[in-house]
Amino acid sequence: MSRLLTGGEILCRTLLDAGVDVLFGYPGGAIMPFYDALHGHPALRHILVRHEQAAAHAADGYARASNRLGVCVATSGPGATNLVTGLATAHMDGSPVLAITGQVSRPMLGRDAFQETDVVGVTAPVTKHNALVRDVAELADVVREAMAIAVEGRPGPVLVDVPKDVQNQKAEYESRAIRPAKAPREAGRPLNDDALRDIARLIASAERPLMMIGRGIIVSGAYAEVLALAERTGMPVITTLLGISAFPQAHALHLGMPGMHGEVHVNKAIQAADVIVGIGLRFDDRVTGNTATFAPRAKIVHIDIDAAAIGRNVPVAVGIAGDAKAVVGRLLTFVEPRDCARWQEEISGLMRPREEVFSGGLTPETIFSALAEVTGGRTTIVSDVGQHQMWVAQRYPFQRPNSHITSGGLGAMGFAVPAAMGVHLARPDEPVWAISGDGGFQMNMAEIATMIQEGLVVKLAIFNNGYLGMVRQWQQFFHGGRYASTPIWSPDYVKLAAAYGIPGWRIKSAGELEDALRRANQSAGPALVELVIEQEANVFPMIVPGGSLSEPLEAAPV
Amino acid sequence: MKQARTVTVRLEEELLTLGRACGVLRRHNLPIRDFAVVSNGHPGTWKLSCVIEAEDAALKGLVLQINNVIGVRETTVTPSFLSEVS
Repeated sequence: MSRLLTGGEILCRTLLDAGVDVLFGYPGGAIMPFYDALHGHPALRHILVRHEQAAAHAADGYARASNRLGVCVATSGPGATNLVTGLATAHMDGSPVLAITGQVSRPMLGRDAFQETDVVGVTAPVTKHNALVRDVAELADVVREAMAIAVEGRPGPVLVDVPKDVQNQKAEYESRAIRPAKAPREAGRPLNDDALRDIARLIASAERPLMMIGRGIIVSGAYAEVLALAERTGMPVITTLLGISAFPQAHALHLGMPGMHGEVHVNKAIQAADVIVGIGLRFDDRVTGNTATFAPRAKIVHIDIDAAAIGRNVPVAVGIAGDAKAVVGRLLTFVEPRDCARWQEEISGLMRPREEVFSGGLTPETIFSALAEVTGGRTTIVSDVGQHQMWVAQRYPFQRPNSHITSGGLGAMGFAVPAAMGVHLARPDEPVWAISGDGGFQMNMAEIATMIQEGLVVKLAIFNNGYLGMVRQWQQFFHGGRYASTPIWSPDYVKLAAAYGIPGWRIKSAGELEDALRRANQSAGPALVELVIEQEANVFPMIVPGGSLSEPLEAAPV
Repeated sequence: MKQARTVTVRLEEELLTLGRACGVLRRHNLPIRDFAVVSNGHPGTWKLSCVIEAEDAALKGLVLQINNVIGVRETTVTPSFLSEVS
């Protein structure tokens, strides 16, 4: 049965009918009719953020943790443009986010009206799809189509821009389901068994095969299939930054992260491999280093949902466009059991112990061991961008699927704190830790107020070294040690926590660590732990930008 | 081998779709020697044609990415008569 509703009410009903129950946003002039309607739809929980960028990151965090659509809302002009970094983050990492933006009324479009921005034009390169709604009669269908596009194939952000007068207009609304997901053109074709047999033959005949997996495993939920493939073949498994937690870290076949800050034995294994089976990853430049020297001996198999990603960065011997779970599941029927004992032994011989000296003994290793101990592994780690992000990726012992969330492709500082709010709402029954540096934390620390007002439980860990650490490291290595604008002042974080009414600890030595982390983890609400770490610590190993994986830096160049 | 080819994109008659397809072309930063949009093809669709001089691999990547644009129905690549006269 249809009902006559305003555009604002139609938006609410369309979201509810699609199963949306939480949105992150910030009201303003051009989106007010929607917020007015929202008031009458309490089943839609609205989280009032302190900046629209946080709304987009939070929706992204929610989407990644729940494997459902995340929704953010902003007004026209600055509200909408503030979403851009969050949408770009979701676009790069393939996360399904719906942004709803208010727009000036139709008669004002194109007249440089107050708070008018062509947000559809602005966001076109960083969204999978976007649309300006010109008539209330098409509003529900436009939103439904956008939601379907966001989640199908390689997921991504979509934006629907709704002029204010369209939000006030009335139209008949009929409840309708979102259309089923369509597979992308190439990925929708039946699996090619000949190609799968070719892959099986390559694996069977290889002396040094490797599996490299990315976020596609998490999106597809192909954990069991990938584990089975690894165990049946004995292929060591490498997880990209976004593939971390797609494979149990403690598993004997797990090697670690590749690329710019990958462990030496991981990168050397890539350079020695004769077959690499890449699943659900893009082989981006942070993974490959100089593509001309990447895996020079390897025949590369590339399986990805996005046909355009296959062969884009590295030449492939066999490429299959398809969903990782379906492809690997079928591949398993062709793969014969084997082992790679000698190859595993060879890689083990390349491993070397870490030698780190941090003041107070506060090494990344110590910090993450303590955090894993305190949480019992029952947590999601949301990291920001910079040195701490690489330390998390290298050292935190992730065991559970999809328990590591970070801004990989875009590398957006300021991501962790708001994204963790979204993760909390997706996983309210377990603690979520947002781990930031002192730079990234200060970008979105105002969101602590959001946590307090909305009752969101996020534990905050700040790696404070008084620098924009990763940029400082590059300045030290490649710019003659001239620390231009990288020293960064911080407020007293313990007092900051107190100002927001949450507990805070400043930790300067390893001895204080576990107690503070435990108390923070057990506290009922948000809590903050500042970790005062070695100021000029560097992340090693490191591949020089554009360099070869064969040539890692293990100490600062002189 | 670098060679001029005609890339033809059949897309929904929607400026946004056209803009997105052009955005992909722009990002690839390939030399475009000719460009036209016409609406004399299938009903409800426009046809974008351009002549691009590029390596096979670059062109293949471009076509796959244009195919990812929502609203693009089909992208084809054919040898360009420009390659014969140049």
